[in-house]
Amino acid sequence: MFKQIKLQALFIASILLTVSCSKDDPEEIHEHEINKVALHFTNIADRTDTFEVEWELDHADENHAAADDHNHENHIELAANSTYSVEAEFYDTGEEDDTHDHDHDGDHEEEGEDITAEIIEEKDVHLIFYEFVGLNNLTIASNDDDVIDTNGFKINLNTTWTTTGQETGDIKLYLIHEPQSKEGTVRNDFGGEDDVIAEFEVHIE
Amino acid sequence: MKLQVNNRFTSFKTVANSILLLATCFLYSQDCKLILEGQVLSIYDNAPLEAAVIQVQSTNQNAVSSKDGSFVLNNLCAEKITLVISHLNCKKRIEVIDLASSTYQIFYMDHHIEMLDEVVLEEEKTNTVSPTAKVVALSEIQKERHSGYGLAKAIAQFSGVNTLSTGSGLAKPIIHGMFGSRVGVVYDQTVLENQQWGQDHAPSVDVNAFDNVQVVKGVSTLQYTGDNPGGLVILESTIPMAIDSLYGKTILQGNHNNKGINLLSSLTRSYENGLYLKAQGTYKNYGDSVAPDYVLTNTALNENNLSLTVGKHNSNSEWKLYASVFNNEVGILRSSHVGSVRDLYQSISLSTPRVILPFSHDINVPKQTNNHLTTTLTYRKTTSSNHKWGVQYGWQRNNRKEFDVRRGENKYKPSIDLYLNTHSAQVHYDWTQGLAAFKSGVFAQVQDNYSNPDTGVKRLIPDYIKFKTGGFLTAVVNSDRFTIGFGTRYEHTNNEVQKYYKLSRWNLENYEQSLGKYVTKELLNQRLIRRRLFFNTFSLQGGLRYDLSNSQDIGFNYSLSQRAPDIAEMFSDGLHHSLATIEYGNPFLSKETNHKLVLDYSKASGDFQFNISPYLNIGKNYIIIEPIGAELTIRGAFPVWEFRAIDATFKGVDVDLSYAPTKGIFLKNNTSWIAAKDISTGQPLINIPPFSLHNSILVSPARWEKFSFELNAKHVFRQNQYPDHNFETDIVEDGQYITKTIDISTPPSSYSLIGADLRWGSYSFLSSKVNISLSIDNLLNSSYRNYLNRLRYYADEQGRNVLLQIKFSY
Repeated sequence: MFKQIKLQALFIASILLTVSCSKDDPEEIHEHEINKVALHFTNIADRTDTFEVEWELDHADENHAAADDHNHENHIELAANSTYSVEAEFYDTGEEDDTHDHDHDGDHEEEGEDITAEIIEEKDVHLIFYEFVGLNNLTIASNDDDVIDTNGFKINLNTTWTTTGQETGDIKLYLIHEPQSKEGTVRNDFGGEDDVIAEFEVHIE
Repeated sequence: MKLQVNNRFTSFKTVANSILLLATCFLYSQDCKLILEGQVLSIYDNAPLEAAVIQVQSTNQNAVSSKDGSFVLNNLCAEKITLVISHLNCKKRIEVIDLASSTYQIFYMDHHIEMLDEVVLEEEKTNTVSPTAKVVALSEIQKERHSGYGLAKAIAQFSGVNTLSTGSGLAKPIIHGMFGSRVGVVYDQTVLENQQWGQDHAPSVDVNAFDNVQVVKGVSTLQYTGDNPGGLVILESTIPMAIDSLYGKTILQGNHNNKGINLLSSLTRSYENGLYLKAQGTYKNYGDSVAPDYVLTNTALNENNLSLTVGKHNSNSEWKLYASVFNNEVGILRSSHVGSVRDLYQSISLSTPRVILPFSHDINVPKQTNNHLTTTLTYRKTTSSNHKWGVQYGWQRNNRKEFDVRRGENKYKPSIDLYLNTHSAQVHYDWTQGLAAFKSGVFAQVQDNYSNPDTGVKRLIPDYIKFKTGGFLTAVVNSDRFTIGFGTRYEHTNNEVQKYYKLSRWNLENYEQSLGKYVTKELLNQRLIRRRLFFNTFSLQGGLRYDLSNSQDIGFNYSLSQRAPDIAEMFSDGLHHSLATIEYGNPFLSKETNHKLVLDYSKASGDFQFNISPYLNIGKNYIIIEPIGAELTIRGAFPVWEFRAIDATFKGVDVDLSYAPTKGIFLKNNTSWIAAKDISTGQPLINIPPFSLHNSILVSPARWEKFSFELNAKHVFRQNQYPDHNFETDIVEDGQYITKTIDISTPPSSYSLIGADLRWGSYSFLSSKVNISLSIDNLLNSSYRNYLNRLRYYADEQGRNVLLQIKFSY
């Protein structure tokens, strides 16, 4: 019996030895995901009148978002009775992790990786849809230079925005993945899943 | 082939017997001159059964019955002997005889047993698994009937056992309202190691590779585990007898609902010297399941498994090498992949799935693939003083990949890719002293989890190394009417976890204060920690079984079990696409303790059998996951679910009844009820099985010996006890925000399902025996949703399924 116990002790000791060494540091992972949407506006009447509005996932804000998730300060200021050409661009701002740069002081003005080309490449399974909240004096239509998929559907990457009277409201930009249909007027008509939902506040003045 | 074997038997008989007799003469020189003569007859028509093997369990002495069913066993000692009587394709019979003088005895074999087995809840006569607790086992016919559905659904026929499923292809067992790491699966005396996170993980084991499927309800079996207050599923293979034989079976099954086939085959070769070889394989190829009104798009499944066993046994030692591979690819309902809460709202509001495509055998994303390799090497020896010791080593390697709907270059990359390697070793020593039988053992285990970073998605489960060691001691005292059991188990767990935290989460939770000292690397917006966590867990069990009379017995079991939190419960971190939830572990959890009391009373008199088993579980620090808020993502706000510990109670009762009003008709009922709640808030716990009733009638007319018919009805009531986890979100309708409630809590309505089975056989066909069965599940093609299916928001359950099964035994 004692012999037995000795053997068992040895057995455990040998296993203890083999595990006392630990693992190497795991590799860090950079998630490749869209986290910034930029809209480039060009006033058709005055081609020099251009501006850009960005929607970015604000990490500081991300944890108490439920109550006010449509209250971001991404204002789009448009003139009444005007027409704008609008290009949508999608970025991965990349959380460019760098062990040497500890001072992330906010002046990180890089655009990040442009994902727009990827969407154009997969145009058959993507669609952009603009949803209006409280806006009656704005229309959005696909532009002549919009991307057209192999079935002849425009994906609304380049659009024309036409304003009439003054008002304030919200726009939700949806990047829809694998829509069931590319024809419709409300979000539910398209099916598919939301890849991105970006929100903008619109002021027509 | 059977004929050849029989011929061989008779020719071997004399030689084999004389050798064995010689051997036993030397071994048992004292008073071992007794002779047991007898006859083996069919229980139905008293027909003699030829080629039945009568074996003395302790010495492997055996005899084979001749044409008139008679046999002779010579040179037996005056003692209590256990006889194992087996016949090809018959149910094995175990008889204990207290031999005082030479005697003559007739043994009846349940030759027709394949028909009748279904009715009777098999209770192991030699219940070594858990001597004072209730153990139920699947009969071969039940096992084969459900071979196409997987382990969890096969055992869900027992009262108190349910499944937690993800669509039609994945199911994990729920016993007494508990699942996951609170329910253990033990195969060939080794605990199956799976990634214990998420509800969409079916145990990676092929139930068809094992001969016996047993369920211990409500207690751990301390020789295997100490942390399973739910119960234990025990899979075992029988050791072939030491006779020269070659046998096997092949089952071919066709399913009409998913246009699938299921093929399983096994072949065993045994030799007179105790050497044996066994090979077994399963192949499944199912298309999409179909609900009554639509195709459940992307629910196809492929599975192929192979296992090989080689071993040798003789009267005082045995060894066995077992190796198996389990591979599957399971499609997850396409409509269950939601991008946002808005998608979730739309899916719940719609009565049909969002995506319905024509029927297909293709498996697209979302899907998961599992590869599980297991090997075990066992050696056991019985010493001259009848003490037993054994060593066992096991290696398991599990790779799990989950594929989501992704974009661009990541389209074909898995979102989760985990490798779990587990090495375990155990030494055990069993002895008897007077009326008491003791089992003891020590074990050690090393487990390494590696999360492949190539997925490009942050790790849901971090990399870790877990080291576990411990020991157990159990004792059973058997007297005439009493069985008293006691057991204790201690485990020491040492985890080394390396986890990246996103800085936003790190700051929000103020982890710098509590976990700051473990940081090993600081990145721009991530923190890597390396943390060692120790847990000491202790389990204790006491049980009593008392025979009130010949037909009644009562059992009472108490267990205290402690469980170290799972790595997932402490460190999971990620998005679940099927419920649009973000899940976070809680790094400060401590061990969970459960006190469980199980009472069972059985009465068996003639044609009537009754068992009632109430139970109570009091959980301290019981770990659950609950919604705690919301987090904004690129796809809007998502609800956040986090693990936390509560005090919980579970109470329930299982009832089993069977009655044979007349010869050839059997009625059966099983009923389960359970309620579980959080003590401090009084709130019911989630995913608790609703009250259910199963009734069946089996008709096996005496005049058509080879035919039987069974009709079964299952009624599942609506679960009225559920926690309210609904939340609100703003959805745009007609150009305005409208606040909508996302109802993820309300359970679906009650439902009834009818099933039918027609069985013919066995018939002789060439050299083998053939059994044919035609089964229909959901006969009325009812549309229903199951509370315990996580995809219940998106689609109905599978509709009518007709299964045709042909079994060849050779």
